[in-house]
Amino acid sequence: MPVTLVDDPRPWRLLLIIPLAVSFVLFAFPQAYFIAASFHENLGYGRIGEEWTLANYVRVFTDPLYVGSLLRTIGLSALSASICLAIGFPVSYVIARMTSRRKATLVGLLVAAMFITPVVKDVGLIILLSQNGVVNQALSVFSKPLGWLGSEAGVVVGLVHFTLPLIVLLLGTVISTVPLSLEEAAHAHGASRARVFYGVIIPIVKPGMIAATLMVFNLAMGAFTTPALLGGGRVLTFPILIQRSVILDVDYPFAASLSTILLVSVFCLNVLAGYLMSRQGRFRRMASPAPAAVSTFVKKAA
Amino acid sequence: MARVTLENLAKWYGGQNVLDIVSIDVKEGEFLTLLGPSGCGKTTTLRMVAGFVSPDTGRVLFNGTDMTRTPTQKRRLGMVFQDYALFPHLNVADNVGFALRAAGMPKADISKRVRELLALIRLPAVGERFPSELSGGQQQRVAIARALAHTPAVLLMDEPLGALDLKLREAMQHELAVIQQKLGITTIYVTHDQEEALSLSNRIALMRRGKIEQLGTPREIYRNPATPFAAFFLGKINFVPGKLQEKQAGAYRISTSKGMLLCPTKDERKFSLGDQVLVAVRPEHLRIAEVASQNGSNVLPGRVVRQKFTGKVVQYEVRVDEMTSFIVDGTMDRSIESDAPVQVAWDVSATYLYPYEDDQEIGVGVASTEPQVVEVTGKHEANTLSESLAMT
Ligand SMILES: Nc1ncnc2c1ncn2[C@@H]1O[C@H](COP(=O)(O)OP(=O)(O)OP(=O)(O)O)[C@@H](O)[C@H]1O
Ligand SMILES: [Mg+2]
Repeated sequence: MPVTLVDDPRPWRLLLIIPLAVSFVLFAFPQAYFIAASFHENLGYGRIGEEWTLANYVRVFTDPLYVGSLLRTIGLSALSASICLAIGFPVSYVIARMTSRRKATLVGLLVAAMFITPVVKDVGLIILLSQNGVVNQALSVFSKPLGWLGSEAGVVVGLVHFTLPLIVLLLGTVISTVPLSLEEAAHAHGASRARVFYGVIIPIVKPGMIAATLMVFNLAMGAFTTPALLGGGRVLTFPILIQRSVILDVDYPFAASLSTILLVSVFCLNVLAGYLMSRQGRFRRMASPAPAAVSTFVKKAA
Repeated sequence: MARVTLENLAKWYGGQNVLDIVSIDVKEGEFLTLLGPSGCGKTTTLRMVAGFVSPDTGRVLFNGTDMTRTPTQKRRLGMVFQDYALFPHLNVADNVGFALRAAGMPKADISKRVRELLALIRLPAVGERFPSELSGGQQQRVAIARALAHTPAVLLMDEPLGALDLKLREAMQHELAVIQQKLGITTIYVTHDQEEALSLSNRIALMRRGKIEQLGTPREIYRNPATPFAAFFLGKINFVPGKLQEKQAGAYRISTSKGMLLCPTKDERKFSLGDQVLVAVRPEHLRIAEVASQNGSNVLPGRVVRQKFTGKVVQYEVRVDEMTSFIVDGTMDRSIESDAPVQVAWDVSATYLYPYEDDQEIGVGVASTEPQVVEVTGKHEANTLSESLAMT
């Protein structure tokens, strides 16, 4: 007779079947469909051939336009994620450490800012960054008007603007899990402000910080509106090329292969980051103390 | 090692006066305990010494130098926090060696010192483990080791032994006392455990509502509590309200609802005839007898309403009148039936006298409908208290 333990988690896992089924229908199924489509020939007018072929992929990887675009997209996304992290961290820290009622107001504003559609945000930026815009006027003391719009710099500004509220919220949540008393303990035992930051706060929040940065990076990798509006057709990121091959070329298999490449590269970059992170034994131990306890136990027994 | 001077410290938190002019001079190498009920401002005072909280008025001086605006990391502190505050991302050895690394000590010296300290806290084998893999008591001991590693000038401890079981706590108390004496580190210790305060401290600052109620050696405060609250908070005490009737040679005569009581006159406090007063006596100074056989100056008749076995003593609750009950320490070898008429007697010299003031917190006041059973809500009984006092 099977004995059920009170702490047996298995019955609860059955509940996961429903979300699994939903995800499968909504995500896995269409993905599988377009991934399959990417291995067929384009017959024009939206029709897809029967034969299996790698031709679409060969075309992507032999054309410098697409390879360059992929690298550019990764580069711009990484740059804007890094800028987001650098700008967002201090802001999140201050918000996370706030005790007054203003904290709730600020978090509310952040959430609101996060849900503003990129179109609206970008239009604002276009006005600010235009040839005679506020930014160039302010900079006129130092330099000639800069061509922000239609440049990679403009796209990065747009991506940062688009993802900053999200990373501030995410980092704020992570930072507020670090008790203030840890900082105090570090100060009390002679640590300077910098040492507390690099020796205590950063190591503790690192996993969450990397996860937050990755999310922002992923958003930037998939962003279409911002590079389209601020890049003005001159900064060709991968999503823009995908859109073009769908709308202008009506080449669905090729668009599907571009999408697959974007999907796979984002996936691989995330897995790589996760792997690098987990190689630091510290994080693994903190996240799950139990295996570490077992390993010390095993070590002792051996 | 440093002399720590707290000068007129005051702090308000949104209209609430949390500290109200606290001045203490902690001598070099002294073990001073801040003792008091929850919320009296012990932690706040300690955090001012640490530099986490700026006082609204007053100064903190180390060796006569004003440190009020010196950042924490420049104060050469060791600190044990109420919630341990061990670094979760560092293993025990790195936690203990934290201050040494911050001070730039060579690696080999650090690991040697860390080993010494782990041996000292009797956890020699946990260096590789992470704080989350330790029990609460073990974490607390690691926190103590971390605070001692760099031989700080001032050691601050906020209830460092709260999570330990009785035996381990006693062992650690002993250990702390030995370490502190050996190293001669000026120590400010926060606790609300009266026994711990009595047995560890050179002096105790008894606090209440942000003020220092009494500052003195454990003996002074226990033997000569300056206020009814001091008598109440350290050890156990019975109160009887009365009125000063007469002044004899060396003694006041106090009329109470059950008769006359005598109290020794002391120089420091002057009472005048007719004053409302509060007579106080500790349970261990009371004698209980079943018959009216007691002579001596202070005798009250009563009835045993309850008895409680506490291990070493039997605690009798003797109802003296509708309003007043006495806690009396009795021995086990002589059993007294409940509801038996008894006499409670004590020596005049063991009697304390205070001006009367309503104070429901300590069980003195008009509003109390319950009989005045005065009991300290501590884990330790009065007689262990006097014992630990005798040991120091
Ligand atoms: N940051 C703060 N903001 C507002 N009030 C505070 C703050 N810190 C402490 N207080 C108040 O100050 C008073 C004293 O607090 P403190 O922490 O010093 O008490 P304590 O004596 O250490 O008590 P316990 O024994 O419970 O730790 C309390 O009434 C508390 O509510
Ligand atoms: Mg406290």
